[in-house]
Amino acid sequence: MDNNRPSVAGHCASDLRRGRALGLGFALLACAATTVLGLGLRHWLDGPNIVMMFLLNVVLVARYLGQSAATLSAVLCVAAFDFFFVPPHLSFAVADLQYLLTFGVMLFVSLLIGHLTIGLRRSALLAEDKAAQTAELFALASTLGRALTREDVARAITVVQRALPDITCRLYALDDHEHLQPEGAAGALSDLEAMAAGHVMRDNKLMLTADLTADAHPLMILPLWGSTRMRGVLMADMATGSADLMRHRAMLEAIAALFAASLERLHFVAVAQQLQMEAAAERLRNSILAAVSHDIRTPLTALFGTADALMLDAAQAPEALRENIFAIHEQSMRLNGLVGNLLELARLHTGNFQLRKEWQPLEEVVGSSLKLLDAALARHRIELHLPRDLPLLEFDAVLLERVLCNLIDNAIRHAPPGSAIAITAALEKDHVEICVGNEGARIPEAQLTQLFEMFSPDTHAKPHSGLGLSICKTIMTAHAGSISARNQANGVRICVALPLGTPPELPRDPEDPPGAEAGPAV
Amino acid sequence: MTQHAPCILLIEDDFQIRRVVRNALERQGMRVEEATACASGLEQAGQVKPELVVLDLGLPDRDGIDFITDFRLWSQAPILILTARFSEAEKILTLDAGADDYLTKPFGIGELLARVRALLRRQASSMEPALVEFGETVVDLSRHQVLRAGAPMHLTATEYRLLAVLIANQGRVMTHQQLVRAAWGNNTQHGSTYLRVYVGRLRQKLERDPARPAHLQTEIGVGYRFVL
Repeated sequence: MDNNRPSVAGHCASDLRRGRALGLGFALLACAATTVLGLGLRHWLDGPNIVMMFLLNVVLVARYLGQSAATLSAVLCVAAFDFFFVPPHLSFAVADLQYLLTFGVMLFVSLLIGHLTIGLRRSALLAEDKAAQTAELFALASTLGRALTREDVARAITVVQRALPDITCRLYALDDHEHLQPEGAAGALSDLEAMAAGHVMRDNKLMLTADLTADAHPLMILPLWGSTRMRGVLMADMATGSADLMRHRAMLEAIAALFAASLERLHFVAVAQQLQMEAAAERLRNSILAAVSHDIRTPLTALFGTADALMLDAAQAPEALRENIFAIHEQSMRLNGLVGNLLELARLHTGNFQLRKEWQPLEEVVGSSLKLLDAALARHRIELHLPRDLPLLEFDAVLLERVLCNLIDNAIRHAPPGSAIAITAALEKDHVEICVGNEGARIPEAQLTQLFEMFSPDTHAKPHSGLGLSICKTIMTAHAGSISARNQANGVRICVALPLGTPPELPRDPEDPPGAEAGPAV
Repeated sequence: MTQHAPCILLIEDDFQIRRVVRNALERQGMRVEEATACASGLEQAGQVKPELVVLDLGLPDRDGIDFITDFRLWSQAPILILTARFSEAEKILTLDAGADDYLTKPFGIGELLARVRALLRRQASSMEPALVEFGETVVDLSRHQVLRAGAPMHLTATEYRLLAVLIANQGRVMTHQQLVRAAWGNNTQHGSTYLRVYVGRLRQKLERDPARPAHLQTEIGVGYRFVL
């Protein structure tokens, strides 16, 4: 058979030669048969009709036996016509010279018809091939379209195998750690292959090479490029040769694009599922938080109120009863603080938590914190040093109040009654430092940094403080500030730093006397 | 308050909290009516015409704001809100709707009684006195004059206006927005930062310890309260 079916590959050269020889033999036979038939019919048929029979012979040979057979057949037919049908018969001599024209036209027409017939046949075969390929691509696309898992995608390789039986394809997809993982029946990559695949993915360019295997099989490595990023590689190898492999390049590239698209789709499906789960978890967390907040607070409010009411009567009660009442009151207060801190921490760590920053004087929030802790501060002296020239600062007042309350509360908790709690603020180059110091036990240096972790060693001994300071850290971090603790001569000082910014220009009040600056210090 | 027992309507769905609040108020010689939901609370309010309402915000049937809006249609009696922490926005909404003050759960009895008394006093003295005295400051509202420790203290016109608004609403929590509008008018562009700066100046001029104000108190995240 001739090389007239370009898309069907895989025949050895000797096969080809045998097929061609056979074709030529058949062409010879066909010509002989036509001649015999023509001789049999020559009493009934004129010369032109005999010519027609020969032309028909050429068409059929061209249709079924290919190019060389058609050419041979054209020449043979003209020769046979001359020899057997043109007077003088059984001789190549020509009596009537106009037959030369007949021969010329006959030869030309035979060759032309042969050529056209072959072209037609080739196009038909090509179209058939293309249709088959398209059908396989459709099958692949629909298989991949239905794929819900990586395994489904890997199974689609069998569809490719059906479309391209001579080619072995292997699929490798990138995992979350950017490593190529074999999919389906594909074996692990050799080192050389992995290196080549790395190149292909980096350059996003197909590679054709025969150097990667011991038996020099040609191997085509195709990048699987999704619309956003690299998804893996497709490896195609073929026994016959790289030229054959190159002929399938378009098909292989189409297949690679399909695999890349489905791997990408699977990736985004996974991402969407993940996000959906996270959103559901977040909703659940918020509703639990709200429910817990309400359900715990309600009995706590009753408990605290009852204890408080008992306190009002405690003055007349006997000593032992009074002690019990104090204990209930104190413990309910402590429980309240603990629950408050837990809920606050949970709230701060939800995803939708937002700072409500505004420009405001620091003095105000210090004042309101001290007022909130009025009762707790009764047994301590407050030493307050706020410079009068502090600029406006930008912060969430409710949260900064929480920070200061926790710091002051912590300071009281670790200091003996009657000692001083120092609250100071200082203007530094790019921040304002607010410190709360007490006169109490120092903290081992090694524990100073752990103080703000959610469950620091300190939490064992004094359950309240660890959570409170960890809230302070969370809030300060949200403000792009910081928190630190250091020992001083006779106690501990915890400082928070709040970054300075550019406060807004406040419009001057027209009724104000000139020179009165809009600032907290007058 | 011995001669007259003020009537207080307590709307709260939790029995234990109701019990604590009722006991505390009754010990002070007040009359307490109870309701457990908004709808019955409104009905009750129409019948007993309370002089003060203590309203829990987490009622099962309706939003507390609805109650305030409805109640304000026919009564100016002060409303004290019981609310949870973390709900500054909700506090502001209720105050803007017409509530007068709030207590954050859990609250002490002393605090509750102090708020109730302040609101009742405010209700009783609807006629404003010409002289208001707090700390070492005396404000003569008729002559627009402020004395501190006997000596005249100069306030700018804006400062004085702000002080007058706060005094007129003593005992109540005024939200930032309410104060800004009252002091600078409805069309003002000034935000709460401007207000905070002015309150800071007033404190410098009038408070003994401006960092720990006794009278011009801050309700963090919500507004200010003037207390005598």
